[in-house]
Amino acid sequence: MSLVSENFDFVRPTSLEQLNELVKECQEKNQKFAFAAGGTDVIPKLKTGSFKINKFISLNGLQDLNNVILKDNKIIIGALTTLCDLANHGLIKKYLPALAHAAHKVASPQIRNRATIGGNIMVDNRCVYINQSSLNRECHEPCYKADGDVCHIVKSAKRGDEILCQARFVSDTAPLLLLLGAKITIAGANGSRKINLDELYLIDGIDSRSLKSNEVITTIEVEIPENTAMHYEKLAIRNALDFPSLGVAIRITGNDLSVALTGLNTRPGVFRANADSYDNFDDMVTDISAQASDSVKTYSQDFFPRGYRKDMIPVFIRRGVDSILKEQQ
Amino acid sequence: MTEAPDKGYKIIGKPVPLIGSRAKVMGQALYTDDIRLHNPLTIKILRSPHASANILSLDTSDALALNGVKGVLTGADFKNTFGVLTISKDEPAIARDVVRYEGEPVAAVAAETAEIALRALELIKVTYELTEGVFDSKTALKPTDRPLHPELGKGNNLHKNVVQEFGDMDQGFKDADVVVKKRFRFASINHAFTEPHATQVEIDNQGNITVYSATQVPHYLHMAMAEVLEIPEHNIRIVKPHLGGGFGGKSDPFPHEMIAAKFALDLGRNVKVKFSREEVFFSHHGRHQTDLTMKLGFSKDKGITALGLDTLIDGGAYGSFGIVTTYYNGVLLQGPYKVPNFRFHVDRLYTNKPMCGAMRGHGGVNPRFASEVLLDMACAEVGMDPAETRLNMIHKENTLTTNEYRVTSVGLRNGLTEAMKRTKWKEKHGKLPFGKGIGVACGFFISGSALPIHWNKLPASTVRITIDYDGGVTLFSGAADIGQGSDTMLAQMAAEVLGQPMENIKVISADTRTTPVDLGSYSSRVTFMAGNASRNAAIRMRRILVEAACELLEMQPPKYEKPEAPDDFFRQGGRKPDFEKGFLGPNPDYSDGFIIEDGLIRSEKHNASVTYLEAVEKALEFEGILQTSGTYKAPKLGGSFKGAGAGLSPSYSFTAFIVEVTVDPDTGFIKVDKATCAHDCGMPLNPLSVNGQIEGCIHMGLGQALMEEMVYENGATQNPSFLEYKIPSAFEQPEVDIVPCYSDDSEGPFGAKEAGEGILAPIIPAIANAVYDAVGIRLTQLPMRPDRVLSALAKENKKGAKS
Repeated sequence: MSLVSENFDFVRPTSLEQLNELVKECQEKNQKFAFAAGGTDVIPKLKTGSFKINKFISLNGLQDLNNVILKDNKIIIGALTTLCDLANHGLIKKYLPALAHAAHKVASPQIRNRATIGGNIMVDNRCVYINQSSLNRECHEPCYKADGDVCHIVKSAKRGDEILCQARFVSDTAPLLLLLGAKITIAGANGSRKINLDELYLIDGIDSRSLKSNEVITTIEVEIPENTAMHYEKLAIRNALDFPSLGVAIRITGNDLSVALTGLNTRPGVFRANADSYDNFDDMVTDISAQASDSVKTYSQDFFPRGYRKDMIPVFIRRGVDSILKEQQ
Repeated sequence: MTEAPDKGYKIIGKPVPLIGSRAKVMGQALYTDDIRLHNPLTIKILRSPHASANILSLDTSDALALNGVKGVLTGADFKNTFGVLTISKDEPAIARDVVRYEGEPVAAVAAETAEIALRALELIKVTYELTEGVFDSKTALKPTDRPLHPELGKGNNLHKNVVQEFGDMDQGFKDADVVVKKRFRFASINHAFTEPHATQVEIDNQGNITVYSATQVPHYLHMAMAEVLEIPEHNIRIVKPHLGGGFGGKSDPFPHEMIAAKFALDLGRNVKVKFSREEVFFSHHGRHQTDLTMKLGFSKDKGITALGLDTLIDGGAYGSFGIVTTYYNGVLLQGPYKVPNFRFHVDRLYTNKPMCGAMRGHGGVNPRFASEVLLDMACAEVGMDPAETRLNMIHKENTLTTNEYRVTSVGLRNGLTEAMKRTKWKEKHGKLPFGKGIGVACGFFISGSALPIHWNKLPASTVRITIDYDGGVTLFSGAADIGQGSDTMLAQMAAEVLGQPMENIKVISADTRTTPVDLGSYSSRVTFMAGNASRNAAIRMRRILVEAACELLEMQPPKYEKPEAPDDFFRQGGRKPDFEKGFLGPNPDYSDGFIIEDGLIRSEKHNASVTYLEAVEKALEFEGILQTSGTYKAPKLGGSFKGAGAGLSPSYSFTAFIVEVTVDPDTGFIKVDKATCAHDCGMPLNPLSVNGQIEGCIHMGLGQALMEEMVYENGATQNPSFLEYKIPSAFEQPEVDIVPCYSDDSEGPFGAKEAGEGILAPIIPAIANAVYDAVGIRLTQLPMRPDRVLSALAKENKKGAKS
């Protein structure tokens, strides 16, 4: 439906204190609420009715979180920085050009003008059976993610399994941030805490983030890497609009090669290798590609068939590495 | 860029910005849903979540009791079914007892607000009994006790079967040096127009309704609505506001239009309804999913010796244009080359999926892909240049095809020659490095269906022109400008003939109360038919003005030559055309010894002139009102065998594409680098508009070639959004080169033919043939997804390893 048919209240706190108050109020009244900045992930779900809330808490009033600064050799990105601003920011382009590129590869200019980096690392996992018209959801049995009792992707999945829901991870920016060892600051009712980005991501597609429902990400912090080159390669049938069918982030620092994958499974996969353990650089690339391919199970939940997406993992890793090596020459 | 030959015209052949384009760009143009009626009710439609089910019970009482709900309709409220073709009126406005596809309307609510209407939908209780559905053509052919349409009295789900055979197929294949055969499969695709369907209905206190609707065919909607609602046609006025794309997807009467009109009549209130994008996909009417096997015989000396095909097309739940599609899957292969021995067999099946219907290139696109790929294969096998071979096989002017189509003008040979020159075809084809390729394909299309859908002897198009006391020209036409620019084209005709600037021609179109009947914007008929009608109306008006000028100048009025058309050129109600009554004949010359320009009417011979306004005033003295009409009706065409009417057209367009691609052998991605197009649309009336159509067809063809595909799971539409149904973005559009290509069609208005549909089909096989040139694989399934490219490459490598 092109209409958000359920009524909800809209609030825009201007400080974290106000935000905490609002959350507390919702919890006391047993109201469902959602945080949103750009709203590009939440609004479509409200439209299809796959997600229902009583209160829409806009984060856009927290203006302190909309900036990028350089401090003590660290880039600190406010979570409300839009993907457009991030892609064009002087500091990002200078120190983390691959991240600027990845941010630019998200969706379309209109969406990048609204969508934020905080939202992109939080973007909900997707599946063709849940991110779907209400009519279509009605004609299938409700799946686990819709509080039902089946997974249409892995029919044998049952409660108690490590992975109940195969909704896949689709952030374009997270893989590079993971390879950079990014830390995120999280604010909640009991003050703030800092965690590694990889601790944010959980194994199941239903609740795929470790963030508590009353917490928000405030900043993303990245140490400027030395002697490092990075690359992000995205598989999509078009050069715009799509979520990654596969995304491959590559980092080369000296003899270290690391790879992070997105678009395939419930959380991003990260793989590391060091050239010292191999006869030559090329063997390392082959080996890390094999590692990545072997550890990944793909499913039919995308435009591209599962086998193809798996086959593209080594191709994209090789391309990423080649592109970095070519630039270094 | 398209260029028109200089024939001394002032407005014809010149780039003219489309009327209304400024308003569209400025956001000022009113589309159907932008119209603000007084206090309208909003309609929402409850749709079936099941593809195949019986409705056991339907309880609307709670919905009706909801505050703000003014009415609920169900299938029981509509007695008559409808359909665009008189021979398959099989669709109910709302499902009765049975649902045949996911998304079929099962009830509708009219309420004071959209929110209330949506809430009311949730209160409607429907009990379904799920039944076994049919989801593919092959299954649909099998005998069953429970066909989708038992009223047809068939023991299976076959909707239409067509077999036509011409010549001697066995002999044809015997005469061939090479015979190639392949099975091809095509996904169903959607029109993906920008504006979703919308309708608003205004009712007056006498029970007359004005229906504003996003439709390509106001006239057919008018007729269908009168039948479904059981009220006289004169109580209904259909108006088409600005329209955001049709491509065939708005050329049927639709359930929501019937529902809206019924609510307005029942409740005495204005109403509005619009679709979400999901609903557009649920109602679909797109290109048929197709499974076809084609066999082509080719001789080095004679060209194509025989062509045969067996085709299944998956029609979905209802008929729509399907019977026409069934024929078009065969007959449109009768060009652009001579096919002496020809047989086709097409079955259209009913399945539990959204119905398929007409889409740009209607029925001709998929078989064209197959025939152009097979022709490329045949050329490769005998070692002949595929572009040169095509060039030599293109129909000659004034040919009769094997199935008795009268081909008149053909301008493609020059165009293809030029395209080969500009692309350096000879230097590139077969000579580019691995991964780079160049391919060619040609196409052929009708300039309007010669026969009307509803059989009658009336003109296919009529245009009325009036001139007011101030000299302003108003042109009335029932033709629907759906963004293709028909209003502009009609105005160009009148402006050229009447010697007026474009600004002085106001067009009122697609309003069944005020404009004369036009059959609508489908089958690429408007330029040829309404264009001729406009030209004829303008010629008659010119005669009135020139006669008035002669009176003022005290000169003898010009003697008009009688047209040379044979007496039976037009079938005028069985009577011979009456030349004395101003019958104009085909494409009449209007030279009369006068020049009308810059506000003057000047006799060339006597160097005397009066002003245009003086002549208007003088003419008004006689008539009180200046008004003429012009008509168009296709000449008598075609053979006398069964089905001879399918694909008959007064003229045909021809297209060639040369496409250059890069294929990535590691990922299977096809990048179309450049598309060079030669399209023979006769005289390009408005080069700007022809360019737009060519660029648009390339983009649309790219979509079907590379990514578009309706995905169904047991009849459920899996990708009803523009995120998951992939259409190309601007990034994918290749460099486009349009080479000059024209002919002078003896019957087209100012020599023009169609330029909207025929261009689409050949771009797709040209891409496939370029892929073959690049990496040596034959792709036989659309879309040509990267994974299919890789599979084909792997198979080819295996073959290579063996040999």
